[in-house]
Amino acid sequence: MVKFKPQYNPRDIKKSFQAMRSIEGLYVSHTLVERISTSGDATGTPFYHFRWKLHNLADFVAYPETSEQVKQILQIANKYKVSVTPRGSGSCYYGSGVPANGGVVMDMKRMTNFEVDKESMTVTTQPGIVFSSLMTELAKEGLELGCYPTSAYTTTIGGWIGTGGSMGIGTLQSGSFINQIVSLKLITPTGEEKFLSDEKSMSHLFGTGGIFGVVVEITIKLLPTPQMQTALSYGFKDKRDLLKTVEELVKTQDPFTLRFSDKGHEFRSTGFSKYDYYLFVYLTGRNKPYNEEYAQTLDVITKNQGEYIGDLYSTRVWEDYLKHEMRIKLANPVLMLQQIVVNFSAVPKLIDQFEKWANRYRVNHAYYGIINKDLKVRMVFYTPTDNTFWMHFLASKAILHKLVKLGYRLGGRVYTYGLQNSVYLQKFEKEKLKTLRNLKHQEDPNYIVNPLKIVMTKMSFLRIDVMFEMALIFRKISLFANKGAIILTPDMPGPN
Amino acid sequence: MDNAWMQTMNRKKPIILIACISGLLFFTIGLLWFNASGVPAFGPDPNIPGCHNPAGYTISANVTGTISIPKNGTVNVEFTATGGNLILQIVPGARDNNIFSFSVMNVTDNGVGDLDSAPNVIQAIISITAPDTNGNFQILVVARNATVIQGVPPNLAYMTVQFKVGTGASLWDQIVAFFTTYIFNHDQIYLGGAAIICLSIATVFYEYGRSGKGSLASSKYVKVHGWLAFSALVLTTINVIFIISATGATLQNLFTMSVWSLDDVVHFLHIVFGITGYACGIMAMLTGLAGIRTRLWGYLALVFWGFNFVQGVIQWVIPTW
Repeated sequence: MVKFKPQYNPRDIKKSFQAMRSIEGLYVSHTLVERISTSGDATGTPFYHFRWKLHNLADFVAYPETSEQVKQILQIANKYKVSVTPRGSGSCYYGSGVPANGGVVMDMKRMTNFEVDKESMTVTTQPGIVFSSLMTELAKEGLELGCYPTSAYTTTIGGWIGTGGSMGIGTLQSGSFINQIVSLKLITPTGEEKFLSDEKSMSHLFGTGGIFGVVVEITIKLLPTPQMQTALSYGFKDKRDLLKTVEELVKTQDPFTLRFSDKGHEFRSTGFSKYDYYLFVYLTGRNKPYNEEYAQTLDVITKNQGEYIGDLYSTRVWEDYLKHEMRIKLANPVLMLQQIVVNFSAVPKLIDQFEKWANRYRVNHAYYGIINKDLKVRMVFYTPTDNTFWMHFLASKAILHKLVKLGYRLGGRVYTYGLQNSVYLQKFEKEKLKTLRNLKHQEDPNYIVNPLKIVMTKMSFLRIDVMFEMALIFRKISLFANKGAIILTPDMPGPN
Repeated sequence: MDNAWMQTMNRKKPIILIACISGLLFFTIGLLWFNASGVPAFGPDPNIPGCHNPAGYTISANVTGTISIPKNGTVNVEFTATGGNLILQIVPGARDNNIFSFSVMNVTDNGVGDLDSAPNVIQAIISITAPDTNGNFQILVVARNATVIQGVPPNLAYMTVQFKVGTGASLWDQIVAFFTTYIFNHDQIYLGGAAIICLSIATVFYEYGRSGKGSLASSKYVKVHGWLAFSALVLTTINVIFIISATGATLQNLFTMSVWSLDDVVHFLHIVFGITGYACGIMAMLTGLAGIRTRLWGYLALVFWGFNFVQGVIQWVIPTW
């Protein structure tokens, strides 16, 4: 197996900084505030990275605006063997944009130009634009994207490519983001330009955090804004009814998006907690007569004991849909979050176990699921916590770790690898890892772009596994001794 | 409290801690350098015994070097001892004395076996029968004052006689013997000393890393700290394994005594601190593995181990408190 050894030489970093400063029109900075602000992400534990891993701090930051500048940055980085970490908004929860080997962070958020072609119904855009900004502009033209991330308020186009783009809003109807892309322009790690236009040649770029190069231009398919749209929110008393409804709807109908969640998630995102389980469906009538789709959807839901919450509530949920993730994040000192992609058949087991562990170790828990047409589900499990209550914090992380292990046993995988989850790829997806490693060796012989992620990791699975198992034992002991902190428990009103 | 003073203390705290731990570390290295041991050393010269005063006594034999002898073979060795109120003794249990057979274990001045009629001189020929085992062995013979007063080490002179029985010890046996005699031996300084060194360096790494002044990546501190502290625990575990049965016997003995001497009190404290320190070490490892940030257990282990180590060394320097 190919072995990678990223290099870190302060003298070369200094030389590369000076060389990049001479690139025309490129803003490069090494102020501490910019280095820090571009080295973290939305991960609930930024201090965890910076405190223990000083190398997770950028040495300087470059803000390219053109593909030519990106190309030159990568060429200089190759010359001096300096690590380059491309970065979108940093809203990934797993350290995808964290410079794990220092070097230069390439902040892509100045690359926001786009051009709509109404004739071909495409938009050609630079990767740094945030989804919601692009969508707002497209809406003015009566157009929309086929799919976009649930974190569209913060995520950039390039960022979603790097983190997978396979399961978001609209992917149920339109398929993954890769299906929406007509072509893209890539600057390879060695600084060459490539145009890719078929799915096969692009697929390795999706979910690999930019380790195979930096996408600088993307042409995406557009759809006309649908004439009819309806948001529907239902409450369920029984989890089995909810899951039965979800399966039936996906198999028989064609909603734009569908989300199911527990009370914890609904309460934290909307403040509503009358029911124990929730279903949100958004219908567009795009591929089926709207009235027919609407009536059949209602039939399925009511047949399975779903209770309609109301028009106002449903509309508000849709309007705020993209804000939910950040709202929950902001409302809690630390939000530990794990996303697992599994077959729908494995979801009940995963949910049951999550609830069981969370109750056993008295940590907060909430979840929601986004489903695709192939009945693959992205289950988002999260545990609001506070790192000043260390045992609570560790236990919260630990049950998510256990859940990931269970997810793999049930045939699933983590949704995003980034810095933290790469360890699971190393442990559970050895064949995929081998393929990616060989590809990385071909594409990036100097191991320049986004090192110490995906194909290599500083962490050891055994170490974190032992740590989390031990942490849970201590948590149990502290609870037994009435010393375990129970914090941030929401006061959720029940059904009555 | 004065804020400036507190700030100064906060800055100085890691430095003081590191200085203390480094002091203990260098002290330990120094002792190891001088080949110290918790057992009174006799030294290479038989006429310079450790805690016993050799004044007035001498002992010699008509053999030099190593005696080669077949398994179960017998050899006669002539010993000559001088001194007042004299006794020549094959000390039971000393060195390999118990695995050899001797025609006589004690010869008193002008008593049975003394071939020299002059007072204060013993000349004795002792038949020594080898065991039925190949190996390299050593017997210890002393010439001492026949009267022993409780609590006062008698004046004595001693000598050792080396034997090669049969084919002698194999290389493996010699290696094992070396390790069991010198390294894996609670009474020697090596296991405890190495554990103290490891734990001290681990603690210095930890404190240095916490102070944020390190030039190494912090993750390396954590890793080095973890491995060194774990090594200290492994060494201590070995140390504990080798002393556990003797500890049981000692405790049993202590609890049957009605009055404890200072020596007994110190020994008891050594055992209690050893047990407590070991438990703290285990807790430090478990909490460390669990990612729980507490320094309490590690520091307690260092304090208890440090006390026991220093106490052991002092007892070596001053055998009777």
